[in-house]
Formats: sequence, structure tokens, C-alpha cells
Amino acid sequence: MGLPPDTGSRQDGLYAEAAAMFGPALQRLARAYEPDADRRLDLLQEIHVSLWRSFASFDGRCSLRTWVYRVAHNVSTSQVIRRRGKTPTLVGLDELESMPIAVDHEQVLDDQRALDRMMALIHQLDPLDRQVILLYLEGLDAASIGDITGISAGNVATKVHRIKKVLAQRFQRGTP
Amino acid sequence: MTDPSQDRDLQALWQSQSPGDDAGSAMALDEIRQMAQRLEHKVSRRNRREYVASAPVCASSRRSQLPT
Repeated sequence: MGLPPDTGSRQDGLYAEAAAMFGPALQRLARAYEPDADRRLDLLQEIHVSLWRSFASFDGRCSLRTWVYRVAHNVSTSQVIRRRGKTPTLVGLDELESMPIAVDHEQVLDDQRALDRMMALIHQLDPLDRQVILLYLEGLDAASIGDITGISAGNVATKVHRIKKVLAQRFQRGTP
Repeated sequence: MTDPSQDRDLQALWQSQSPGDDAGSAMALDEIRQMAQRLEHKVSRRNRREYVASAPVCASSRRSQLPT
């Protein structure tokens, strides 16, 4: 890579730490961006390679978590944009809220079906709304989501509220 | 859906997903380095190709700007 050895080992260390801490979250993220299993593995590899490369210039001005999610979402969003012509139309929250609910009338779902339905909904969202909902589902607060996506915390809170409303309209999780 | 316990419920459901087919996707550092190197070679080859392809265009545009 043409970097001094110290930089290389620091890069490796940061990558190892990030992969250990955020590996499962990156798998969930890839799943939310790519429904096809083979392409998903490619996307996941691309995310890991981009992450490792990015740590050569990581200066610690933001948290490791913010950096990891920024890189992962940028790589994934690029893939969505590249494939936009080949995939069904993506929609924003406005359209999603106004779309008819094309599901059965059964409201009580088990966990797996609830997850499948949530994933199907996420796959329809345009990149920015998708980023926001995924980060919310990973448990990040509005300020952190704003840091990663570049939109204001107030705007994030509004989007999260609307997305939750759509989710609530479309399914309820079954009680055990 | 607006109270914090329901938020946690939704987030817990999301985070409880099993790794499934992606479980074997963890990559060794050597593998990542190799992939990064391949990518860098690919990008530098593409850049070289583009420089070469743009050279005649630059030359002809310079020629057209020369005073006759």
C-alpha cells in the first residue's frame, strides 16, 4: 500500500477492532441493501475492503462507530444507485406512507415473518431513508444518525417518527 | 410505536437476526489486502488507459487553439 509500517499496523488494528465490534451489524446492513444472497456476499466483501482501506486515513475526529457506518452506508448506497435501473423503483417516505397496504389482514406476526416484512419495506426505501431507518434499528440516537448521514438531528427524528408510523401501520409483532 | 419500550422491541427484533448465509463472510486480513491490491491495480490500469485515450484529444484541442 506504500504506507509506513506503523500506519499499516494501525490500519490493521483499527480494522480488526471494527470488524469484531460491528461485524454482525454490517451483515444486517448488507442484508437490508441487497436481497440477493450472492450479491450480498460481494457487497459485504466490498464493505470490508473499503473499511480496511479507509482506516489508512482515519484521524479519530469522529468515533469508530460513526466512521464504520459512514463507510458501509456509502459503499452500499453506491451499489443501490448503480443498480437503480435494474431494480424496482425505490420510493421515499412520502410515497411509502401513501401506498396502499398490499398485505393480508393478519396483524399478528411471528418474529421471522415480522422481520421479513420489515426487510421488504426497507428494500423499497430510497437510500437516505434506508440509512436512517437502519441506523435507528441498530439503536443509534438521532444525533449520531445525523453525524453519519449529514442531516440534522431534528430531520432525523422526524424521519424516524414517520418510518415507525409506517411500520406500525403495516405490521405488529406477535406476542409470545 | 412511539413509546421507548416499543422502540427497544423493534430494535431487539432487528438485532436478533441470525447470521444465516452470511456467517462465513468474515474475511482474513491477508484476503482483504489482496482484494485491495487487486482493486488498486484495476484502478491504476483504468486511469492509465484514460490518460492515453485523452492524450490525442488534448493534443488536437491545443493544435486548434494555436494561432494560424
